Amino acid sequence: MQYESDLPAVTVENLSVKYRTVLESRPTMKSALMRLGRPQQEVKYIEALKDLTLTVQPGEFLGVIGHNGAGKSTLLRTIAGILPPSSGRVQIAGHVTTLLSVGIGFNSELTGRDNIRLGGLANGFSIKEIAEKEDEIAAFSELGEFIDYPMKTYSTGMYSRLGFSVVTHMDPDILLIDEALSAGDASFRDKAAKKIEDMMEKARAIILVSHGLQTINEMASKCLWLDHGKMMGYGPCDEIVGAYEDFVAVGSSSIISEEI
Amino acid sequence: MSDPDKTKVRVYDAEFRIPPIKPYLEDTFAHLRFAIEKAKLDLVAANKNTWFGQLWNIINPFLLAVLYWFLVVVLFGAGGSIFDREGMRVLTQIVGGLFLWGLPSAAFNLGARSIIQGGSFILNTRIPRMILPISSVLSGFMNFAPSILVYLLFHALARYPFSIHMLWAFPIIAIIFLLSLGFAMMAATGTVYYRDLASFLPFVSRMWLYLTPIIYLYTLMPDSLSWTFYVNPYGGLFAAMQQILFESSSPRFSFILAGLGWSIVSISAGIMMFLRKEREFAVRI
Repeated sequence: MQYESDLPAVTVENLSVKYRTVLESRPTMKSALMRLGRPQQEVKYIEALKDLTLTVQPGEFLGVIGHNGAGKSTLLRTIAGILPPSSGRVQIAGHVTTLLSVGIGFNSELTGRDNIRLGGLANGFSIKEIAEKEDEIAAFSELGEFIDYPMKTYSTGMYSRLGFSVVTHMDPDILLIDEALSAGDASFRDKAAKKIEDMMEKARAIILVSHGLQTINEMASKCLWLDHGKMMGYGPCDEIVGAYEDFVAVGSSSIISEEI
Repeated sequence: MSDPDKTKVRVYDAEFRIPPIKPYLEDTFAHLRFAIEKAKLDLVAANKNTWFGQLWNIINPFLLAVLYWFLVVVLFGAGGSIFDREGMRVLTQIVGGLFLWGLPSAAFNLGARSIIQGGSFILNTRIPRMILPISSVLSGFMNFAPSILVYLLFHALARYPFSIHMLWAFPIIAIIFLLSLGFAMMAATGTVYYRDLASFLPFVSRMWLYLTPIIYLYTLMPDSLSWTFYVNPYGGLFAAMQQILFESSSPRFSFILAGLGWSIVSISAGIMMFLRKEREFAVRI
């Protein structure tokens, strides 16, 4: 069920996110004794996102690119309401589901089917509704008999496939995906791309973080390029991806293009 | 489907405030089924690779009870000889108390670790984090529930009467559940900031067990120390449990009232403490 509103699906206004992190200084026996064995610590603040403003409309696909540590995952977590903004605001209109880098695995000792059930319940579905979707999700993930095996026996690709299958079947208005597709094989990537196109047709808003520039260029309707938390570019994909490629001087490197 | 996400516009900003309690608790209750299922599946996963499987939920407290029985009855000679009725009664008292202590124990152990061990959950989903300590105490309850049947077998073997007063066990267990839930929320919040707490709390739990009438009868407490049943949040409740099970009488009203009072304080303090800090969990774990 889509959220009926004139509001953008996602509105980000002057968003900044700062982390407080504790670094361990070089330990000495004397300082360890003085501090009752605790390591000497130094507090550092890291500005993961700096003054970002953007909107994502229903039916829009925003691709987020940038090097490691650019703030892409932090942006998704802040939009999902997982991390608090340090300044600015985020407004969400609709039901959000997330597939972030850690996947859906609630407990790797449990089977894929158990984790589907937990994922469904976490998304507010009833046991009956999940039972109706369970076989469809299992079939989409193409895990075969592995769906009844503990998730600790899964490969990274199998993890990704199950995670993607679960979140895309949770009827989201806004879907946030972080690199989750990069581990799947080629045929599953095509299937996932088709699923995303179907969702866009149904006016779902999608934000995908990826290093796969080719897929971002082909699928996303708008692109955001982040660098050290700063917005370097935001607009049509061919323009932004081109500028990013020039910036990192990789051109159309097949390694990056084929990551997704 | 009743997910509040479906019908609401959400705003996340930098202003620190405690989330409005009523909508937060509604959202938490909407995900209660998730907490129950997670508690159930966590128990299954914990014993998955063992030979006895779920039976460990009964074997564990039973072995502990036998250990205490050996100490109290055999070594210290309390309660008659090993196999007579008096010895059996002492064993039954210890078994009943230790089975029930599974609830507070889950709060101090599983509950305290629920947030720091819930990394994937905290970093991947937005649903109320309070679900995690709730799920831990529920898991303690699910551990305890089947042991009631085992206890009833001991109760019969010790030739304790089955009286109508035993029905008081239901409200007493409910109060102990709420009390433990409050402590679990406090312990879970504290452990995010001070990880040492997770190692320290099992000792607190063990000490608390000795201060509560579990491996001894509440009647053994000298009159000069009877105030401890009111100061110790679990003291009056476990004493009340002994009254209904072993004395076939209704519980002393003041014991129930003290336990109820403590549970209201514990759950209110637990919720407030949790909500004040929940926002920072994702950056702290």
